[in-house]
Amino acid sequence: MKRLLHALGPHNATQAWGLLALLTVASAAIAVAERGVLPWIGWLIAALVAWKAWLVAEHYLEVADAAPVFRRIVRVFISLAPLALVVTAWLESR
Amino acid sequence: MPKIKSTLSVAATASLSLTDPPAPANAEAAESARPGYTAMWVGITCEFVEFAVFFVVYFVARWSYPEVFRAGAPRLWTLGGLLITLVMLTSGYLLVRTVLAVRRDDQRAARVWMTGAFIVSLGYPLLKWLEIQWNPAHGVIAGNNAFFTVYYYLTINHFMHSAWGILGMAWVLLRVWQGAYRPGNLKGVESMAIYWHATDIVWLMLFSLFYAFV
Repeated sequence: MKRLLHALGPHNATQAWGLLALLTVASAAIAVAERGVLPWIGWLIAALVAWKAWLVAEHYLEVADAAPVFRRIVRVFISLAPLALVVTAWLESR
Repeated sequence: MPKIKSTLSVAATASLSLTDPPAPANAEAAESARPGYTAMWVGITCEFVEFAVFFVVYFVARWSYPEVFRAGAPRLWTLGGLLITLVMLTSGYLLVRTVLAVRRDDQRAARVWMTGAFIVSLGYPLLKWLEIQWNPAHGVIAGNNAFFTVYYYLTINHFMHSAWGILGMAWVLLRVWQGAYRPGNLKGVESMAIYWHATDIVWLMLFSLFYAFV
């Protein structure tokens, strides 16, 4: 799975920037079109923001080269809001 | 007996010493190979902790007033939020290219990329000013309800962090034009980039919480 994600993901900062711009436009378009229509769409927005934050952390911030403690802090932080969004989507879909 | 005394004396001296024991040489080499100053990583950790607390406030308010949040989000300037995101991502990308250029000692390219990063970053205050003009006409006023209060508090706080980043970028731009950064001496420009990318990550979260609200 990890190898598949790596193969499908961007291989340099330029590709990462293109993908980030695409995901940003997509998330705004989804939000405007589906706001309040589909109860599970919050999960998709959470996944998109997690993906974008991961792309910035890996390709821009070079978090893989950071000291282990800071690497863990960045990875925990970028999971917080997406996880809370998933919980919110679940609460609102009940 | 004297041997035991001597051992205890050495142990006591070591435990009371005010200086750290010397780190192994390879640990120092590993530390210097890491991007940016350790102080900057500590700084962005503080920024993350601050915004993690703000996210707690956001979600407590959202779970307490779901209807207020649902009604408030569509009134925000979504295009403005989208453009700010693109500005943050693009200036961050140009900073990455600046760091790469300095690492290979391509001073001319570093000047071009860094100038581009600074100019693009100025789009953020411009868009924020336009958004502040747009908001009152659409009823987006801080005191109106919990959603708008949280929106203003978090986004203006983020803008203040970005303003520091833009000021830092102006300094780094000056130093890049002076040719101050070279391979082996690029912690300054790397640290600037780290700060901006961390602020970028925070903005991506805010974008999903407010502008891409579903």
